[in-house]
Amino acid sequence: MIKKLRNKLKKGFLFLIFLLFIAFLFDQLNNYIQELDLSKIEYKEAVINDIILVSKGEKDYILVAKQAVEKGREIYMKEPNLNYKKNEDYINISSKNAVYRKDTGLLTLYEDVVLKKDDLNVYTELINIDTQKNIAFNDRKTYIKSDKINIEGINLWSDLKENIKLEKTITYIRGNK
Amino acid sequence: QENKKSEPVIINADKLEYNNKEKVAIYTGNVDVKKGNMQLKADIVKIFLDEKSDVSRILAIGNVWFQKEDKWGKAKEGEYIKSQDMIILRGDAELHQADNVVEGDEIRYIISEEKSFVDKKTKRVRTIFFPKEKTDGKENKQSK
Repeated sequence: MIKKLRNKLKKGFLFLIFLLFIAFLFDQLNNYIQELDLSKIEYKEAVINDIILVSKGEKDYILVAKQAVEKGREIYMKEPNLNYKKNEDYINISSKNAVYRKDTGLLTLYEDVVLKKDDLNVYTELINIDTQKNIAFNDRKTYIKSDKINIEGINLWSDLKENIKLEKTITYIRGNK
Repeated sequence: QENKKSEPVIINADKLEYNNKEKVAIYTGNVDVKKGNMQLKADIVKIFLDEKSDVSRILAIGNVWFQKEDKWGKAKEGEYIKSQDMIILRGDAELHQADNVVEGDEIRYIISEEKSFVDKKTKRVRTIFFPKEKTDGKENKQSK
């Protein structure tokens, strides 16, 4: 009787081990398959239409764009319009296109770029804005216009606050009316 | 005089640095400033604008040369002060009109009155006036 019981217990135990082994095997298989699947999924692009991005804090900015397409580390925007405010500094920047590089924080605006600050308007075909160093620069023909002054030149540099640098410049200062 | 004031100032230069808060534009490299019939050249030119963005003062540094009609001048440094309608030339200053020349350490020239004042600090004031040659009728008769 005891012998029978022992045999039964032995069989049951073996069966349990077998079950555990099968479960373990399935688990490993499942993980392997999952990993395979995940790696297969390529993150192509995310498209957002009529995007409005609002940031409040030390730097307030409102970014509006007709479309934003995220491709890997870059975000391409159509008709971006950026209102940027920090303390009393207020700048508006718009263009036909823009690309933002997430890894470097470099924003490049191109085609019909207009930058407005106080009474100064800057017009050019391309401008880079380093959002980490808060500077703007380009290597294109650039026009700076205000009520009394027109300046044209190339290789613009600005700290987006008070200072603007330009090379090969011609300046027209209107006389008194 | 009034329409002269409304004439624009045109500045060509290799480089420009503009500070919007201080309203100062600093031009460096082959700087050439023109306003109507007046021209100024220098290595560096600083243009100070007033609150209405009008030119209030121009400071020229290094190889300063300026010309207005038949008058021209040169110096190490030059300054144009709009409120006084005056040009000041400092450092080996010279002011020429036709063949006449005035030299000194500092020359202050009032544009509208066409008057100049010369100061000496280290260098003696030197003025050279060339009397006009007599070219009236008498002389011609005698020579015939």
